[in-house]
Amino acid sequence: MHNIAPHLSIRNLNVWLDAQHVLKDIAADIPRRCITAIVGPSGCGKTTLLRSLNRLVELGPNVRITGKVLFDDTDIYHPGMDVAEVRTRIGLLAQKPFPLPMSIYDNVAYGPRIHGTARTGLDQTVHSCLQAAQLWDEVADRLKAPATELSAGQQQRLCLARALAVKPDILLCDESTSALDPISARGIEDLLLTLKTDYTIVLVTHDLDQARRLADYVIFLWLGEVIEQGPAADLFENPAQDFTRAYLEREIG
Amino acid sequence: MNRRQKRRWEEIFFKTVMRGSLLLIAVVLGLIVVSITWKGIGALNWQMLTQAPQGGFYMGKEGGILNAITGSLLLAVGATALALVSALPVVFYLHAYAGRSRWVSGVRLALDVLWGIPSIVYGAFGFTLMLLVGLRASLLGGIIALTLVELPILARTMDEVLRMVPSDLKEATRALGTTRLELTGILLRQTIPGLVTAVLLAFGRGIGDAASVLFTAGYTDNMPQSLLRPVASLPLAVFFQLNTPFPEVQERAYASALVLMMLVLVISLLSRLSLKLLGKYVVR
Ligand SMILES: Nc1ncnc2c1ncn2[C@@H]1O[C@H](COP(=O)(O)OP(=O)(O)OP(=O)(O)O)[C@@H](O)[C@H]1O
Ligand SMILES: [Mg+2]
Repeated sequence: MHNIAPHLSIRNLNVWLDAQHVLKDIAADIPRRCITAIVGPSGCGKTTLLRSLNRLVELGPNVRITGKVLFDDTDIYHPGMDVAEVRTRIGLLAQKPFPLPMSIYDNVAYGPRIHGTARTGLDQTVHSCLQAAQLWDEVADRLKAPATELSAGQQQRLCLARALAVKPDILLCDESTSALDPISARGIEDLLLTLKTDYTIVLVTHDLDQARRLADYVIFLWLGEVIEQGPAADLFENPAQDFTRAYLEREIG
Repeated sequence: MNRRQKRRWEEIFFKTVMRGSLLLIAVVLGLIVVSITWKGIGALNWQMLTQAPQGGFYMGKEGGILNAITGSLLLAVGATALALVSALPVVFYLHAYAGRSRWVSGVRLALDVLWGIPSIVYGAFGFTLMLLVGLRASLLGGIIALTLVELPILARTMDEVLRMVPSDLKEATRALGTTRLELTGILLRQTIPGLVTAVLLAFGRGIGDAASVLFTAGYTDNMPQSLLRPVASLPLAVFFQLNTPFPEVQERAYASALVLMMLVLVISLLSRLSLKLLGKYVVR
């Protein structure tokens, strides 16, 4: 997987939130059509890193960003870049699921509608995306109900379906199984494994076992710095840094 | 007293205070409603609602206040529509585009100051404007002055409604690759119940305002005829009738006030209904 060009290439990325230096000189490559897991203790900047990969981070107040994120060799932070286009092609599933103020059906149909894709067979798209997100069976008979009626775990899957419907190239998932029962969580994991034949997936997780099950490539983040990165097998079985080993053995973090 | 008891008493104390102030407001409101109804209900009849004043109306003869009812409705509807058309872009600009700059807080401050200006000043200002363009007291003049009164109320209330939108919703929407215009659409869906309330608040303020229409809309016993002719309004009808020395005309003033109150009540009830229907999908 290293012989092909990376899908995303992060170069000297620095992010300050409210004068706090949250990401420090991040350099990492995200391989194409693989699952990359970002792991590290709470507060180390995983969410911030993920959000800077599709320029969502800049929506917050007092944000300063330097460095580059190359997406197929174009810098997404280049001044001439169309931000909406960047976010269409690099979708993000937020840590906290947030449905749009509309029905379950419309939540999923929203992306295809605004992007003018799937004009024919919108019903089909909605159906397949909800099915993929393991939600179809629970909502099939109430597609017109407000999305807010769903439970937290159902909302999480709805947001996944909504993101899939946009058909991005890259999917960024921020702890997307955190509110799910083990069975639905496994369902989503299986989905991510099937999706990686077409998509590049970056996921943030606290669950090291999940990272072991899913990841092809791992980035270990600590206090805003990349401590170690590499193929999952190497990093998990034979970490180069004592620090990484200590975290993996749950001695720190 | 141990900690648990103390917390219990605190709870009881504040509950009592809150109930007390609620009661006070309810009593004052009740007094106003009851006294207006009491004094006005006798004069309220079909003729009052369906006729314009005839000769000698202000001395107790035939006629009604249909001129003022239609005039007030036209003034308030026109002004609310104009104020809405001017406030919506301002407010959505502040939220979808402008971010958090000093310019934005400047706009807010300006609107707050405008809100505090007495409506007689808007009336005088509107009148000066009208003199400048050669417009005389008229429906149009009144609408413009009332628009000035309503605009800051409408803009600031809608602004607050939009400020309550969680930033997570904006981010969730932007994460799907939406443009700012499309984000505005989502914001509109989320806030529509609050925006409707804001519009009705402004409408209520507009229909009850006397000072701003005094010079600008004038007053007439005729039914509204054109944008460029004077129109009557309910607050002024109350004022003029109350100022006559005749008890039966004063009674009609209370009846007019009762009509005004009923109009506002109906509008509020309608807004409640629309909130229920529109608020279905709102994310809380
Ligand atoms: N708006 C903000 N202003 C200042 N500091 C912030 C802001 N948002 C986040 N931070 C800080 O940035 C750091 C990284 O936050 P981030 O949310 O990226 O952590 P995380 O690794 O995703 O944590 P978790 O695993 O708990 O989700 C934290 O120390 C946090 O306190
Ligand atoms: Mg996080």
